[in-house]
Amino acid sequence: MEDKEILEQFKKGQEEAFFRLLDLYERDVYTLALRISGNAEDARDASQEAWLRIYRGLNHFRGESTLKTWIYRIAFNTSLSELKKKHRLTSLPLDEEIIGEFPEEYGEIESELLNLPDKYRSAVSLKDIYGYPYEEIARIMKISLSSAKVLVHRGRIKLKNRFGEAGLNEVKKWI
Amino acid sequence: MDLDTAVLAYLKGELSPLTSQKMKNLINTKPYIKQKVLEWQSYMAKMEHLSDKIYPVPTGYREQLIKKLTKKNNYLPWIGALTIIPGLLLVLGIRLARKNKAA
Repeated sequence: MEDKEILEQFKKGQEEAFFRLLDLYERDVYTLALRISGNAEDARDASQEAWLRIYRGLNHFRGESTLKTWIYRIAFNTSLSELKKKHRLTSLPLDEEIIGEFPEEYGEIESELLNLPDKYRSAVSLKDIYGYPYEEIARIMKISLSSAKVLVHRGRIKLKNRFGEAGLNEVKKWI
Repeated sequence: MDLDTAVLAYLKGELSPLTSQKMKNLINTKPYIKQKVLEWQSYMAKMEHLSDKIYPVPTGYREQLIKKLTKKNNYLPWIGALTIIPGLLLVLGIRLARKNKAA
């Protein structure tokens, strides 16, 4: 079933269409939230909050983008606002380095990304994993275009240096 | 444009043909630039590897989400009920008062 068909069914009041949408994008939204939040627990909360927003907004979706793009945008916005909320509550700076907390289950490469300071991790993920243009990154992160470029640049350098030899075996399987 | 940005732009094919050719010459003659290219190639391969990765949701994720959805969507009938009940009680009170008055 295509996104358009799912949307039409949902708008007709067939709520099971929403669960079809969950089947399709649940893992993508969770993975994306994980990369913004930096840990599994916050990713679960942020991605579930995103799904609540998607559910509430689905009837008003006007089709100006694809459904997938719209879902991703909500997931990014929700994950970033949850992250900022957490930082406000705990008074943690967005550029705090997390040292020694390597979530091994995600593999060395992902772990290096997850341990990058929040603002760099978000910017680099948006640019180099999800391929968003700088203008979109600036809009999602509510920062200026030049700040978005700086964050991506510095984040890339930090991540490249952290990667070092990490994950070589993982990459060799793919090349 | 610093060296890292230039190397990355070269690898992504974002430079003009002329600049790209100059960069190619530099890579062939300067070992430290060659080293930079290798580092950024490795970075790009790792990021590409990540873009293909999707993780499963934790156990009980869907059940928890359904609970949250049900909770969020059930508040409307409750608001409705809370509005109607006092209204019904008022009507009932007025009727009883009228009945008592008539008696």
